[in-house]
Amino acid sequence: MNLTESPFFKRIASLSLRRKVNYIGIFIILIFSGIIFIKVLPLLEQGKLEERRGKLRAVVNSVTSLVDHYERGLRQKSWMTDPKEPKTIEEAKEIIIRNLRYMRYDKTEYFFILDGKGKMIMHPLKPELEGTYMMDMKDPNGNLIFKDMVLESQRDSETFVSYIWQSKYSPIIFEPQTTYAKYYWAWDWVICSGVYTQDILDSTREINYLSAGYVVFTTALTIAILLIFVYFNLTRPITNLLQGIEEIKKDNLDHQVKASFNDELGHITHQFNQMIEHRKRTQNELEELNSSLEEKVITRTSELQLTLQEVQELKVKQDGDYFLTSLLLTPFQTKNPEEKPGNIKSDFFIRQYKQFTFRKWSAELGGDVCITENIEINGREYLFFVNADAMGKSIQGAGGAIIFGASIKASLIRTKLGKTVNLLPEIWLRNLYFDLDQLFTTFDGSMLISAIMGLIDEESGVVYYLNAEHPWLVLYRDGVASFVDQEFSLRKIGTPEKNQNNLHIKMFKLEDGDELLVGSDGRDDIILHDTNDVNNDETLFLRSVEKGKGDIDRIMDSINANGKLKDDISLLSMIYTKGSKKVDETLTEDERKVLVKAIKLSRVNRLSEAYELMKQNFQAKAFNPSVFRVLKRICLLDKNFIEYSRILMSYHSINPENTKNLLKISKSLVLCNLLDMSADYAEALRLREPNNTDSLMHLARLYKKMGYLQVALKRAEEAMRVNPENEETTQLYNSILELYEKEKVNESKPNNNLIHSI
Amino acid sequence: MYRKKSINSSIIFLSIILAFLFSSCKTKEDKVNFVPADEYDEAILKWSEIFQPSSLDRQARIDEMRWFKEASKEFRGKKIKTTAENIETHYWESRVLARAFTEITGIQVEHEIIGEGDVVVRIMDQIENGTQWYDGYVNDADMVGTHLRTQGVVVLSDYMKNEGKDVTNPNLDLNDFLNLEFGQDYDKNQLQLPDQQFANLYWFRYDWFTREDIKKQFKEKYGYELGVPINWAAYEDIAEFFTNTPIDGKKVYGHSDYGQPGASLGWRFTDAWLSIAGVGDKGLPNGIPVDEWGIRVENKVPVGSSVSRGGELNGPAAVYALDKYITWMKKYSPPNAFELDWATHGPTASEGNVAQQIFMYITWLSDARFHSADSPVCDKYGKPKWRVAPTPHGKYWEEGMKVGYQDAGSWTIPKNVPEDRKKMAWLWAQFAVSKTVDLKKFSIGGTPIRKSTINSQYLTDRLEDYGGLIEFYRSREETKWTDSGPNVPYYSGLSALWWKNVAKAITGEFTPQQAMDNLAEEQDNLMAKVKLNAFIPKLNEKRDPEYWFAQPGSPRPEKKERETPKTIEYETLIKQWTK
Repeated sequence: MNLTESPFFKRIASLSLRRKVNYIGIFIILIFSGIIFIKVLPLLEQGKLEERRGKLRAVVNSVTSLVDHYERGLRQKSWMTDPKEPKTIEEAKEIIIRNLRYMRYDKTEYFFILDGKGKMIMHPLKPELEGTYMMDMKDPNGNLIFKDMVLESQRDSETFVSYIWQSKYSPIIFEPQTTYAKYYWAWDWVICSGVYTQDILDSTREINYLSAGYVVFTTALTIAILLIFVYFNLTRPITNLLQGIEEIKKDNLDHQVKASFNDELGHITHQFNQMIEHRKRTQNELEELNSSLEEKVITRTSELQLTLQEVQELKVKQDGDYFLTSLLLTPFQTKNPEEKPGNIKSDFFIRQYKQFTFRKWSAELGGDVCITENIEINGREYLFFVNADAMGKSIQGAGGAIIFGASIKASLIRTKLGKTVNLLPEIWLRNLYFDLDQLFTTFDGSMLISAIMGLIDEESGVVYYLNAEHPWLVLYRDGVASFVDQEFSLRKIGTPEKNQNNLHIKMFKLEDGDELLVGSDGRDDIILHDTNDVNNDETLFLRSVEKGKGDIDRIMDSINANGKLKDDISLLSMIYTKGSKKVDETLTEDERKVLVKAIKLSRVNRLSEAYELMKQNFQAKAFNPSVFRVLKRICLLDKNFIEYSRILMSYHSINPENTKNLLKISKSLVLCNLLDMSADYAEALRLREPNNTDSLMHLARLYKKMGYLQVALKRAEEAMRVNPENEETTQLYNSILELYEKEKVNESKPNNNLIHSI
Repeated sequence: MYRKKSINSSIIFLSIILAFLFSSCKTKEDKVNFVPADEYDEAILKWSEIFQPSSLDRQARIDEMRWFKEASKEFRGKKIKTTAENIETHYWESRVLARAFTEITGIQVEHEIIGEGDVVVRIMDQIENGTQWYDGYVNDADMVGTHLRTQGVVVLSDYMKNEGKDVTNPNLDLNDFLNLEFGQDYDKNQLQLPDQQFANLYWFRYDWFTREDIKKQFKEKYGYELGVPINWAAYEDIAEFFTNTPIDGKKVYGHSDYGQPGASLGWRFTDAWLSIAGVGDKGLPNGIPVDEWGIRVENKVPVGSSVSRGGELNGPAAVYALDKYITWMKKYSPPNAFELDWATHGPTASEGNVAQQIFMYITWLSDARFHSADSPVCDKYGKPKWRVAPTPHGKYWEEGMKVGYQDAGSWTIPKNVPEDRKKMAWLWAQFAVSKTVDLKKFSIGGTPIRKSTINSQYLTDRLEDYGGLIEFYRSREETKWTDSGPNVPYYSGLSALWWKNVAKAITGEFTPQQAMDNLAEEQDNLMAKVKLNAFIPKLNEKRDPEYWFAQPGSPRPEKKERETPKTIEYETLIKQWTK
């Protein structure tokens, strides 16, 4: 049972503090008295008795040693040398008895002797008992005292027996007595002597009475002291405190409780007074406040109005700044002119989250950028597109967007001015990316841009693009929206210390009527109407695209229907329509015959004739696969690598998606000793397929040949990383490394393109 | 939680106080389920109370005594007479135990205490001449060699199985005896049953040996630590030291011995003194083939004790033993040593003027003078300031030899005692060695015979009262202390020769060599003459002593150099014992 739940404990617990203290005092006194009466006083008595017993033992033992002397004498036959010595035990016993009968100590104390069967051998005071068996003799309390003496002394060689016996002063008075009995086994004698112990008991009793008196006195004194102590230290202070509490109940806050002592209760009292003081002060202040409230409100309101005015002025200034900034950003949000006839129709929607009005104009400010622009690279028409999101709200985002837009525009202008720049779209895109990244990295991470940018081959519909941590590119085809590719290969533009894989330019081909959609993360960051939670399902956008059937405004309606926008949002849409340039490349029967003839000519090694024949007849149908194959073959057989490269390059410009062709071109350009160009094609392949070992090995050899050992080493290293088991790569790497170590000092400096490669 | 804990602990505290207040109850003597039917039962009840301490509980004591009562029924009122030598144990048997036996069985026993010399004379007279002195003897097992050759005593092991079967205590428990072998012949037949035994040990004043000032003085003088001597050289040094160094301003002696001519002077030698010096061969109990009496025994047949016959009684080791005995007694013993005999010298070390005694019969240590608070050899509580330790050995002694003597007074019943008296004597003998009484007997006489006694809790609680004695008996070392063994073919006659020759050496009439030569010659002559019934001595022809000295083992040629004195700390020694 739980002790604290027992009725006894509960009764104790409900006692008043004063009583508890008093009871504890009394309890301690009782315990103390108990110890004195039950333990200490008996010990005292015991000690006195022991002392008396010690004396008794000493005198009896002196008799025993005399007896022992005679016994030893008998054993050693002392009588032979000293005739006075007894010759038998009987004689010796006679001598002892004769002497003991008259021997006294302490004036009146005597010895008596029993034998092992309890027969009285000698008793100086009661000779009439001699010869009597005493074993059945009892004291007035019924104890067989002689039996005890006889048996216990035989067992333990000595014993003390206490009993009641006639007083030596009067035969009718009985007093307590203790007898010491020593068994001397050689004679079968129990030699005894007794002593009255009444005096010890008397003195002990006296001490007991005295102690009892002291206990009563101490108890009374303790209780008195406790009562006084409890009154002054507990009762009075607590009563005062209670009274104080009562006064407070009555709202009398002027009452002070008097603290008598500096103890715990004194401390409580002090704290209590302080508390009242505090409350009183608070109440006073409150009252004072109430009385002066209106005046204060007026003062405060006018103060507030002043501030508000200042704030408003500031706001106007700030909005002006915002507005100017928004004006700065606007020229960069450009669309390819709609009037220009092209295969791709683009459209975009931007809504920056920060909306404001300045004077009569309302405007918006944010970090989203959308640009589409027609450019020409290496003689082909492309649509450049970018959708980017500069990190940071309003002015910070806008700053990033402005720099980004300006930078892009600059690049586009550069490209347009140098119209015939002999570049592959992959390389162009790569260069653009690196330029931007270099620029933004200088902001040391304070300005980051997520973006998707790319080029669409107007003719073939091939899309080259890269994604720097921007929401995935969406393809809307035949009423179904899907992500083109679901991985991020690049970190945000401007991310410092990027440790990323090789730049990977992705590629796919659009079909007639396909719509490509890019959008900033504002398209996903909406607070859903249904749940009031932030949306974290990126496929919700796909459904919005499908609902809006690819139309940007309707897509926006659908997004708005799902939830509330909470960020800048921009959407860029591009719809591809297949070009009408398409020529019929199927061969007529005659043309076939010409082809067969050319083949036959080439077989008999009349190669220039065959080539001429082909050139004359197939000017317009050069890209028919059969024609292409035969031409290729003729040039190869003729070892006309320049022509061969040209054919391949022309074919590539029409079928840019054929990646394998790139390596062939690069290799054939090597044969023509057009090494820089060869490197461009191989690099383009590397951008498309960063893990293509053949291209990497080829590049390594190429750069080695060109003397760009550092880049060569890098490519060989990449090849090794991709294909660590290949011995060839290792060998190549080692050979370049060796060369590099040797020629470190006088290495040639690569051209601009290659710097990006490094 | 905290409050609950503190409440619980206050309750515990209170209970402790209350327990303290009311803890004055005493345990009472074990109650037994036994209603006495007659006076014998009354006696049993009484004596079961008196026989304390005991290794049996009270009920078991009653049961054992009731067996004695029942087995003795047909002999009630009859009388027997037995004898034993004059030591404390036997006096107690005579004055107390005999009375108890009579009270519980009705057989009247007179157990006469006489000198050991008389015991030997009378038993030989009874065996050889048929004189009916006694119905039983407590006769030292040194006589077993005589008994096995005269074939005049009851073979107890046979008797227990046959005619004495009805009167053999089922609770006798022979395996409980410490050294049953002392009473056995060569073929393990029990001729004598130990009644008391006591060893001869080295005795010393532990209080003096551990006093820093005394130890320092000793070390300064002798260059090694004062401690329990391991060999005679150390004993000699210590003896000299104490004899010449007053302790607390009082003259003390470094040695104590006795030299009064008489039978007991012979025991001083025959009780292993020669073997301690190094006489005899290795091999317990007595040395094989030459024993500590210098007797060579081949195939149980004694073949001579002179060196010329292959014995060693007059060899250099024996002469060395005698020489040291005389020299030490003269130089280091209290001056009255020559007037004392075995009994008068026995407890004299208790007078407090002796530092060590090489040859202490531990029976004396039961004397009150070694245990009382007013004794100079005890502290104020009567606890001994002395200790006992293994006897140091002489320079001829080697590991594997016996190193001390044990007297084993053993019950011996001559064959010529009438059958019913034989039975009564056997009953009485068994009573005297019963488990009921043995621990009580030990507490009186200090002469243990039973393992149950030595291993009892009672003694474990009182180890310090016995100064190392109990540890000695509990150790395996104890087996190196043996009696005279079965080789001595005619103890009474042969032992009588010894003291006369030793006495002549003490007075200077003989040199030690002459005394031992003479003794060896006389011993051989007597062995050749004595009439016996089995394993009769047949002496070797005399040869040049050098022949025998050249043989391995005993007799050994003279060693001239003194051994390096060695001592050991007493505590280390006790640890070795209790291992």
